[in-house]
Amino acid sequence: MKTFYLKLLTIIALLLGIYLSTNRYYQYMRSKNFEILNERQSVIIQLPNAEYIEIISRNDQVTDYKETTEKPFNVITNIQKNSSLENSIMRTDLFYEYIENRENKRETIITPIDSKNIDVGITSTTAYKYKEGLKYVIQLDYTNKTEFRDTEEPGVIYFEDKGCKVEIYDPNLDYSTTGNRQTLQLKRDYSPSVEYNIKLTITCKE
Amino acid sequence: MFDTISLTTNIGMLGYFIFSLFTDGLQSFANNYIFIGYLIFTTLTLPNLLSRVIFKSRLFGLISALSFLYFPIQFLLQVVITNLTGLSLSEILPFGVVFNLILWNVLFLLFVIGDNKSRNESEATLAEILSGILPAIIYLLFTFILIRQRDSVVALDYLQHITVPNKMFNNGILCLLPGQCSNLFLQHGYTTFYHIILGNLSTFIGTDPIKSFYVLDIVFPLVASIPIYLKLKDITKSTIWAQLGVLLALLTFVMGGYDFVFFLPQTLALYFLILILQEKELKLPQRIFATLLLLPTHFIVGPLFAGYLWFRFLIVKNLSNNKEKTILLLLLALSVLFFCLANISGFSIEKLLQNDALKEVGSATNPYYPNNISAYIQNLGAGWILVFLAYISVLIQKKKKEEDLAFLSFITFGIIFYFLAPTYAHKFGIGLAFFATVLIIKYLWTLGFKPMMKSILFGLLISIWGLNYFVQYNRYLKFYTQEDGTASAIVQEDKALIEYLRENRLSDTFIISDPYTQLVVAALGNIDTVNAQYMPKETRKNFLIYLEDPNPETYEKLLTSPGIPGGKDITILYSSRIHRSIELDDEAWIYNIYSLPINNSYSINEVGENLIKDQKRLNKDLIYISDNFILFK
Repeated sequence: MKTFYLKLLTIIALLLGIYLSTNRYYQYMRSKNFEILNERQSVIIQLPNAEYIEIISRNDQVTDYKETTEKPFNVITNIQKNSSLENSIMRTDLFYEYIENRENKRETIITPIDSKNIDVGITSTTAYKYKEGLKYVIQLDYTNKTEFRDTEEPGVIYFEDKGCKVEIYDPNLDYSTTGNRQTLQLKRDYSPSVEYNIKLTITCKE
Repeated sequence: MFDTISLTTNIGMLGYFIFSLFTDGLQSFANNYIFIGYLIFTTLTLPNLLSRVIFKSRLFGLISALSFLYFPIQFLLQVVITNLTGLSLSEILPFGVVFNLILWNVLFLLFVIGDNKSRNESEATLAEILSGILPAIIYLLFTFILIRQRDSVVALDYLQHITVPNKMFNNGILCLLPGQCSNLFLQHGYTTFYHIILGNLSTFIGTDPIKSFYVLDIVFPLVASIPIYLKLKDITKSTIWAQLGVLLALLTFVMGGYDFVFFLPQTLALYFLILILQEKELKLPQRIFATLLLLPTHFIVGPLFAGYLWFRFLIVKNLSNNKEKTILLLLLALSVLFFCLANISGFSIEKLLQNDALKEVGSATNPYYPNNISAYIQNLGAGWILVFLAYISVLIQKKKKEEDLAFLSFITFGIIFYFLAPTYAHKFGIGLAFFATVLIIKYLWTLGFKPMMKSILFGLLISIWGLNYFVQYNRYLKFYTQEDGTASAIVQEDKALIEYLRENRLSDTFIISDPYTQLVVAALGNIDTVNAQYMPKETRKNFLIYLEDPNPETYEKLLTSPGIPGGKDITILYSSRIHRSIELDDEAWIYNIYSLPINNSYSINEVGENLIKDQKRLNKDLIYISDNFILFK
């Protein structure tokens, strides 16, 4: 009787195993609507329409939009990216960037979820004197001129260009765009530690 | 019949080599895949024949593992000969390799003929060996058709390790630890036991190292498949189950452990352990000899394996009743849970006690929760479900077998050390491929499936393991995948440099370049560099500062940086990797010793005037090697 149940469990385990393995294989093989380039001093999300979205730490700002505007990562004293060691010890498809400018620290973790969705997590720790109306701002730069539009869905804005639609979901959305129609600025009330958890959904025509 | 097949194949090989000698000359052997494969196979199996024919012991067992000591003993004899005759090691060592080839053939003949005279054991043994190799051939077809590219080298470790036999051969240096021969080893992780064997496989006879590494990745799993098969056959008494086990063990890609994928000091230690485990029971002196063999092979993995043997002997073997065995099994499960939770809550040896090592590296050497759990699970993928079922099955058995407890203990030790997270804890995944597979095969075999169900089961198992292996291996190859799609540590543009260094020997100088180029120079050009890929962070920074602002002051600072030898001539090798870093402001490589840009295609259109001027001040002229390399000599 015991053997019967073990046999049954084994068959269930194998069927589950084949489902999980096939799923993992398809996830690996499926062509993605984006490619992430994690080199130099930015993270680039390359789209199939030959344009890209760039997130550069150097463009981060701490500003009150009046008299104070500081760039906490204008100078870099330490930068860490995915290394060959990480490549051989953890295969999680995670893209990592850690930047330091003395006491200012910024960590970016980009996790592709599937062929369309990417999670972008940015945590910035800086030391500025608090002021009324002071904001921390990060920039998402797109290489082409475009229109950033609101949707009915709260926290979501999007843009469309050359057959690709990029939806940006930020649960604490507070944004502005610049006059060059290429830059989206995501804001937070300033605090010594600012966190962004953004989701990008990229849909491109075949 | 198998005697005849083996003898005929060997004679055919020898005939082919003689034919090649006359048609293409001796030099052609350096690039001949068949010769390289034959050399590697005979070298790795020579200890087995020594064990059987000379020591009258098992072909695969403790004595065959100990017979690997033949290589260091032979090397020491050759050193004595050089001291007596005044000849150099580079003149003597090739004869040692040729002698080994002849010795292998003589021993093989004696094995077949000698056995024929007595009980014709060789016939049965060779049949068993071929049965074991068969699934390995399927594995090789899968790997080398679907995953690996021709002549690809996909472990930087090979480039690092080859510098040791290179130094032994070219500079006649005898060293006990690799760090005494080469400055690429910042920590002592092993003796040169492995490196002497590696030298016999390539450097000492002058075969092309790139081709040798590639063929080694084919032959090593082939050789390792035999003891895996024999162990499984011993347990299951079934050829087909044992063959399935070999295939599954080989189709397990353990990230960081690499069990049977690459031939490294740690995988050599694992191979020894599997040979040792062929013995039904190890007596105390045998256990001591096994320990003495494992420890110098790898200073971390060796003690783990030796500790496992002693644990079996002192604990598992002394559990007299089922209750005690159940307690051990529960303790194992509890340990996994405890150390896993401790890790999740932030405990890690490297973070608590090894801060200096981390500063040297520039970052943590282990992944952390949840990535570490995900990475460990991916090693076996869905196979973990079967390990869990096997554990449950052993737990509920009325008569628990000592061997099952031992296999589960090994897997548990690996997990515990992994979650304790000392530096490079991923190495403790080693052995998972073998122990988990043996456990699973034994569990499935005991269930006694009917033939129809068995064939479905086999299909499912091979699919699960094959898919997981394919994804794991390809993800591992990500670092080695270059801009043009080539997946190899050897970059096309670097070949011009290798060629130049072979034709123009640069003696009495240290080359300083970017870390990746330094590794290529040290491994394939046999020229000293500033710790190659492990160039210290401070030196990387000072080097970059000098290149961006060359003047006597920045040069002086560079000369006094860690790893730069005082009083030696320093030659700057300006590469596309450096040029790109300067031009595009890509400086991650100076902050982490594992940050190594592999691509070298960014053409050097112009080198700074100031650099040329400052190098002129030091009487160094610019030598244009290619679009990607400029040497200041």
